[in-house]
Amino acid sequence: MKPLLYLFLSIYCFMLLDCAANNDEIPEPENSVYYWKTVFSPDSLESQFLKQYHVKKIYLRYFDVIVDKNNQLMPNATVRFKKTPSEDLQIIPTVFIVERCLEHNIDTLAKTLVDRILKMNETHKIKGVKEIEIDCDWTRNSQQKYFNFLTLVHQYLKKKNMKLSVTIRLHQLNMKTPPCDYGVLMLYNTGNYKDISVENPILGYKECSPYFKYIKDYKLPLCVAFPNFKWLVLFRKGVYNNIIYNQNLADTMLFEKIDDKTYKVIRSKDIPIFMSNADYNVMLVAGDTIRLKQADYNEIMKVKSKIHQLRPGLLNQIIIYDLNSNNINNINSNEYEKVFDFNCCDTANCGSQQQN
Amino acid sequence: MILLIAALNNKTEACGYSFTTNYYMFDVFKTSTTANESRYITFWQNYVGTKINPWDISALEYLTEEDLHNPDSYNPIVTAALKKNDTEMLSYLEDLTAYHRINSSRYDAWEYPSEAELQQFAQKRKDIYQHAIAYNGTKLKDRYTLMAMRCLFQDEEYSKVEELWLSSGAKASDQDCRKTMMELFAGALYHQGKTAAAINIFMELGSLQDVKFCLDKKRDLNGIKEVYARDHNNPALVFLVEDFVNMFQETIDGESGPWDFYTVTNKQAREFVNFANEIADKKASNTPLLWKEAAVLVSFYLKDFDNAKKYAAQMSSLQGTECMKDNARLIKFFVSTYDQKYTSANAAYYLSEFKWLESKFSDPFFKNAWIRIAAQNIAAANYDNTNFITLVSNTVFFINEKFSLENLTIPQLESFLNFFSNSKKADEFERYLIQKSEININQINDYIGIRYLGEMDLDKAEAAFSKVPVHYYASKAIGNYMMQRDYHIERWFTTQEWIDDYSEGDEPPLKSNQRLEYTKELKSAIAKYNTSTGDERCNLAYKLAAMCYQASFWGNCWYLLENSWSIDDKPSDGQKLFEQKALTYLNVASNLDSDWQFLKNSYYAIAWIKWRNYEYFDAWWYNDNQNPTAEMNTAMSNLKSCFDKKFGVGNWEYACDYLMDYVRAH
Repeated sequence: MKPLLYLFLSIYCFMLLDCAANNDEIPEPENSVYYWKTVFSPDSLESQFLKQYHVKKIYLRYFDVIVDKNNQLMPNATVRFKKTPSEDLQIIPTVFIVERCLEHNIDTLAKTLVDRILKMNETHKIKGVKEIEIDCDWTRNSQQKYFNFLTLVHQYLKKKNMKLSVTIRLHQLNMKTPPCDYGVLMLYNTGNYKDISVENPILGYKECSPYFKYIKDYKLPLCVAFPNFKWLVLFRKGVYNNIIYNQNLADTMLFEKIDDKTYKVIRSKDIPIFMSNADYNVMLVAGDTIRLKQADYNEIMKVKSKIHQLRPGLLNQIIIYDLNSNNINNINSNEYEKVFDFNCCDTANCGSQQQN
Repeated sequence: MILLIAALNNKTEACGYSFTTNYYMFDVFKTSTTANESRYITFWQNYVGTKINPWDISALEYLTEEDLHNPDSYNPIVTAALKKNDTEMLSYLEDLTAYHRINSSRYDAWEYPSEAELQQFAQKRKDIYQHAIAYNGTKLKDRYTLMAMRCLFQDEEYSKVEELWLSSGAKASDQDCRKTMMELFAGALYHQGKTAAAINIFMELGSLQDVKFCLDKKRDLNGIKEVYARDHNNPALVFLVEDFVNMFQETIDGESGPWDFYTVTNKQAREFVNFANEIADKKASNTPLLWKEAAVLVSFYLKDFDNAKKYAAQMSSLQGTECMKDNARLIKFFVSTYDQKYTSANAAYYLSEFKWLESKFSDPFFKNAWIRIAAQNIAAANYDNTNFITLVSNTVFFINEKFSLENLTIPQLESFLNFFSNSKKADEFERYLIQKSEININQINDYIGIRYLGEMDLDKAEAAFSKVPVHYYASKAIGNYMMQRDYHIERWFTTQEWIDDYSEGDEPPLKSNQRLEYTKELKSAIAKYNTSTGDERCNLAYKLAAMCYQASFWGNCWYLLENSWSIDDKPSDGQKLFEQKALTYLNVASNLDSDWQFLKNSYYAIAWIKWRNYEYFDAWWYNDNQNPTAEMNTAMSNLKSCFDKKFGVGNWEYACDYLMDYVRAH
C-alpha cells in the first residue's frame, strides 16, 4: 500500500509542479511595453501611459544588427538616451537581428553583443537589468545558426545571472524551441499586409487560427505581445506599393473617403523617404488606394480569449507594441485596461481584477 | 541645417518642389541658394592659392592627426599649411578635425563609449572651446568664434551661444562664417523657446526649411490671420503669404504636389483675397504691396481676371520691399499677357518687361517667370499665329517641343523662314525674340530640305540644301556620320560601323554637304533610270534601291532624312517612303533573269528588308502571337525559288551550305 501511496503522491506533486510551471509561464510577469524609437525620451503622454497602466517593464530596442555595405555585421540605429529610465522600471534591452546576418558567422557576435549592451547600461546608468531579448525572424534555413548563436548568448548571460528571452512569431510555433528562458509570442503582423483583401494584417483572429493548435504544447514558457499601432498601406491598381506615414486623410482635396478604412488618392503627391518604409521617395498617384490598417481591440480580445482557453499562463504578462504617442490613442483607456487584465478575455464581460 | 536634417536651400530645386506643375509666380521670400559645402570656398581657395573643390573642405571632417602631418596628403588645404609651415593654421585644423571626430557617430560601433569616454569627449569639446575663445590672432578669429559657438551648441549651452553671437559673432568680417554663426544663433533662440525671434533670423537668412519647420502649424489661412493679428508686420508673414499663394497655385494647377504642400479651397482663396485687399487698402501694414499683389495672383488663379487686373492697377502706389516691387511688376505683366492676342501695339511693353526679366536672371525665379509667361500666356494666346508662336517657343531659354521646327509643315516652315529672315519687317519685340532664338536660318533651310527630300521633291530639296553651308553640319552630331558613311553600300549586306574618332567639341573635317550630294545624285540616277530599259534599267533600279534604303529608318544613312535616331523611334513618313521606293526598285531589279547572282541579291534584299521590320516592330514582344505576313513569306519563298532554280528543288543540303557561305561572305 505504501509504495502505491508514495507513487500517487509523487505523481500528484509532479502534476502540481507541472501546472505551477505552466501557470507561472515566465518569471516576474508585469504589464509591459515595447519601446522602439531611436531616442529614449518618453513624452508626457507616454509617461502617463506607463503610470496609468502600471507598466513595470520596458522592452527597449537598444540597436539593430545589420550587414553593412562592407559585408560586416554592425550595430545600427543605436538608441540615444535623452532621459535615463526611471529606476522603478525594469528595462529589458532588446536587439533586433536582421535575418540576413544569419548568413554570416554570427557565433563570434554573441559575446560582443552582450558586452555592448552591458556597456550601454553602464554608460547610461541603467540599473537592474536582469535579462535581454533577441528579436529575429529566423526560418528553418537559418534556424541552426540562430540557435547556435542563442546558445552562446544564453550561456554567457547565465554566467552573469541574466536571462534571455526571444521573440516567437506564430509560424515558428511548430518549429523547434529556441534555447532561451522564455519567448514573447508576437501577436501582431499576423497577416499579409501586401494583400489588399486581408482585412486585419496587424492582428486577425482568422490568420492566427491555424497556429492555435501549437500553442498548448509549445515547450517554452511564453508571454504575449499585442499591437496598438496602425499602418497606411498604399496600393496601386490593387497591388501593394508601400507603407506611408503622417498623411492627413481628412484633407478632402487630397483623399476621398470610401469607407472608414479605405481612402482614394485624388491628387498626386510626393512622399519623402522619412514618411514611408521605402528607401526612396514614394509618389502618391491619383487613383491609388490607401487602406487604413489599425490594431483592432475586438480582434485582440478574440485572440486573447482563445489563448485563455488554450494556455492561460501566456496572459500572465502582456506586452503592448509599442509605447509611442502616435499609437497610444488608437485604443482607448477602457480597452487598454481590458487588454492588460489577465482575467478579461471577453469584450462584454470582464472581471475587475487587474494584474499586479 | 540647424533644426532639420532635410532638403536643399534652393526652393525651386528642393526635393519637395521637384513636382510642381508650373513655375511659381510669387517669390518675395528669397531663400539662400548656397549649398553648405560651397560656403567657405572663397577663404580656402585664397589660402591654398589655387582652385579647390567643395569636397576638399568637407573632407577636413574626416582627417586624422596623422593626416595633418602628412606632406603627401591628398587634401590641398593640409599640403598648403604644411608647405607654408603655418603652425597657426595647423593648430586650427587640429582643433577642427578633433571637433568633427568627437561629434561623429560613435554610437554605431561595436565598441560603445563608456561614460568616462563620453565625458572625455565632452571635456575635449570644452578644451576646444577654451582654445577657440583664447585665440587672439586676427587671421582665424572668425573661424575660432564659429568653432566656439559650435561647441556650445553641441553642449546645448544655448544662452552662451546667444551671448557669443552678440559679443563676437555678429561682428565677424568673414561673411560665410558669420552666416553659419547666425544660423547657430537662430537655433539657440529656438531651443530657448524664443521661436518668433528665431523665425526672424531664419527669414533673414533665407533658410526655407528652418522657416517651414518653425511655422509648420501656421501654414494656412488661419495661421496667417493669427500671426497678422499678433503683429501686422511680422516678418513671418512674408513667407506665409507667399506660401499660401503658391500652395493655391499647386492646388488648382497640378496633378501632383511637393510632399509638404497643403491644399487651399476656392472658398479659402476668396476669403484670403478679401482679407488681403482690406489690409492693402487700409494700409494696415508697412508693406501693403505684399498683400495687394497676393490678392492679384490669387484672383487670377480663381479665374477672376477682371478683378485681378483691377487690383494689379492698384499696386503701383503701394509700399513694399524691392523684392515685393519686382514681384508686383512681374505679376502685372503675367496677368496682362494672359489671353492677350499679340499685336505690334504691345511690342514696346512686352520688350521692356522681357528685357527687365532677363536682366534679373541671376535669380532663377525670374528666368522661370520669363519662360512661363512666354510658354504659357503668350504662346497660348497666339496659337493661330504660327510664325509668332514658333518664335516664342524656340528660344535659348526654353524650347516647347510642340512648336519645334520638326513639327512644322513645309508651308509653315517656308512662311517662318520668310518671317525669320526679314527681321527688318519685324517689330521690336519680334526682333528681340529673333535675337534670343535657338533657331537660325541654316536650320530652317535644312528642315525644308529634309521635308522635300522626304516627299521625293528633289528639286526643291536641292534648292533648300544648297543654302546650307557645310560648316553647319560639321557642328552637328550628324557631321560625324556624314564623314564615315557611304549611301551607295547595300545595307542588306553590310552594317557600317561607327568610329568615334572625334572628341566632343571637335568638328570633323567635313568637306561636303552629304544631304545635298545625295539629293543631286538621286535626282540624276532617277532621271537616268526613267529613260533606261532592259538590263541597264534593272541595274539602275538596284543601285537606286540601295541608295533609297540607306536613307530609310534601318539604313546606315538615316541622317539623310532625320537629325537623330533611336531604337525607340518609329520611322517617319519620309523614311517609310524611301523604304517603299527601295522595295519598288528591287522588284524591278529582280526581273534581270540573265544574271543569277544579281537576281539572288535582289531577292535576298527584298527578304532582308521585309524581315527586318518584323523583328523589331511586329515581333512577339510587341504583338503576342504575331505571325509573319503573307508578304514576308512571299519574299522568302521567292528567294527559295531563286535557289531552287539554281540547285534544283529539294536540294536543300547543297542550297543551305551555299546560303550559309553566302551569308558568311556578306
